[in-house]
Amino acid sequence: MVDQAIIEVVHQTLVEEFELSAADLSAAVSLYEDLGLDSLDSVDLVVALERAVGFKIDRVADEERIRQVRTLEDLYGFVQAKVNSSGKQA
Amino acid sequence: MLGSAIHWVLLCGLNVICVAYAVLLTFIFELYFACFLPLFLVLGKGRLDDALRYHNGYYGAFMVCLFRPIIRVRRRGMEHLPTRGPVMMVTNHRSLFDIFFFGLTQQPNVAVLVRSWPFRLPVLGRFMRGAGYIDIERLSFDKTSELIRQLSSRRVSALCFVEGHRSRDGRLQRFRSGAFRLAVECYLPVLPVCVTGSEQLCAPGSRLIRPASIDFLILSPVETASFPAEKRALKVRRHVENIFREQLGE
Repeated sequence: MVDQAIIEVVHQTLVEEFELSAADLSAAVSLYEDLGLDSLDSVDLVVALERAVGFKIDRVADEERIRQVRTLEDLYGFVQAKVNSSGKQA
Repeated sequence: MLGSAIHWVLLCGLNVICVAYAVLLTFIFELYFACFLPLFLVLGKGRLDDALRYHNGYYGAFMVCLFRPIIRVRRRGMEHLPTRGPVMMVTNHRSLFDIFFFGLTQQPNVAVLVRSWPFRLPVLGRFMRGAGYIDIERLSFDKTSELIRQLSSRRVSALCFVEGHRSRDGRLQRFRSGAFRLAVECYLPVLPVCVTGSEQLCAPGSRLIRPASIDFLILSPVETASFPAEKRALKVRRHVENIFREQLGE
């Protein structure tokens, strides 16, 4: 179960970072096909989420998990898992 | 039909001549570079990465100058180049050859922020690694930031193609935030450089070079410290993106 606070932080980060419309963001939306993001955007997204949520993402150690993130739901789950493992709240 | 065929044949002939001319010029340049390597090493204070960046900068200027019949460059805004201290140069991207024009800035010691794939190219990749170019997709932001800080302490500027890719339709694409975050964190002014016309030289998707007139415009530096602290990098990015859009009439 993903905290509502995490969903809000992820949405806010996407809106600010990539100038997306909040209305286009929902759990089933694909980051790449629907929102038009690419691998370079994922670099920016990682840094923006680190700043917004306050955890560190190790791009080498987390590479496989980052690669598996395809939809916003996957992203919520990834952020929630990082928050849980770092013991912080968004 | 006949006119188009003649045009095609002439263009192919021009490209064969250009490739042969580029190989010859490269050979001459590398000979000179080998002779002057000690001087480059002195300029780079004995560091090979500095020497290779000087090499790349001068090679760009050399090629652009000697390709003048094909490439006509109008260079403007040279007064905006910093007389001292490094900057974060940010530019738009329309052609494979855009990087060459930066040799005309007379600031050859510039480290380029690059995506991962060019580092995998056989010769170029090794050369880029040797010159200390930064792989922004592989390195973490903190590591990249640390490298930029080290380079700027040695007065080395950084250059980033902030759209991430070449524009396919000539229109400005969305800017990425990385370069602006780095500029804010490393206290570097952002120097916008707007390049137009290079899409005529070698359009994305085309393998043929065509004669082109390039406008290489260096705009006023943007001091990041003058922006409000909250979400500063995003504000700087939006401001610089607006400057480019205004300049390009978009």
